[in-house]
Amino acid sequence: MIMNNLFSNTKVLEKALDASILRNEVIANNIANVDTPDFKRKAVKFEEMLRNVVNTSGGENGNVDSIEPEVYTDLANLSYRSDGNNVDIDTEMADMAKNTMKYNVLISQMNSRFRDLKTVMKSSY
Amino acid sequence: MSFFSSMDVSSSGLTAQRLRMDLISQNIANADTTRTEEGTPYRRKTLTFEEKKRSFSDVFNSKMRSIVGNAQDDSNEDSGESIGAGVKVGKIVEDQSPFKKVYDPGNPEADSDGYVSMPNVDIVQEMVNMISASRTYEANVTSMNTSKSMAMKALEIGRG
Repeated sequence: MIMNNLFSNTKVLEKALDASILRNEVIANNIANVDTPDFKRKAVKFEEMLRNVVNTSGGENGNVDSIEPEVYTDLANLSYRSDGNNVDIDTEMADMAKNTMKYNVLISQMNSRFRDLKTVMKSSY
Repeated sequence: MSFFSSMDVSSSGLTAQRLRMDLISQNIANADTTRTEEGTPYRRKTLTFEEKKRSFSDVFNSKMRSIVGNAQDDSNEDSGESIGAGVKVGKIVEDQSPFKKVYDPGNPEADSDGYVSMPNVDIVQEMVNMISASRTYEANVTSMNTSKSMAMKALEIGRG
């Protein structure tokens, strides 16, 4: 019981980290395919799903486990260039920078949770 | 999906752009080559890019994982489409546009009217493509470094 509660607070962070890693891979794939004709950029849907779960079940005790980050094709009908590709390299680089910052924030959040646990576990003399 | 697959994706981009760069160098080096093994002037070479799909084992593993995951916490349907595995070079093709005719009667390759067929390489076009390839290469390097820094950061969990 107590162990469940002890580590349950990192669940959302874990899911968010997974989504962040997946998003990094998707962006890397978009950048690699910046010159591929008819390639359409892909994106990851996660925050929206997390918000829904938190809103319906309330707080971090919600059914966070059931969230699976979803990869989808973005703006499939938009051809940004004459070769049918819709990857904008500047947007991708900006997204990648954003994603890395978010990832770093999540890691430091995770660290601070563990630091809290360590503090509690220390004996008091 | 693993931590290093995003680095594989970036490296496929690096490989493809480097090959493109090799072809551009070849085109520039042969901009004045009037005779090749086939006996014709040099033809400009170019390549096509294709999206690389995931291998069978990758798709199989992720499907299995999602099925097992669903059985445990009866979550919703399998999540969307899969990500590609980067980019690959489809094929290397020769530009079939006509050769340039240059009037140079003193040239040993000149025909009876004094015209020489020169390769269909446009130096300016090659230079522009070279800049484009180099920038895309840099973008892939940045993406690779970002993936690396994320992987290193993950090792810090629980340390601080």
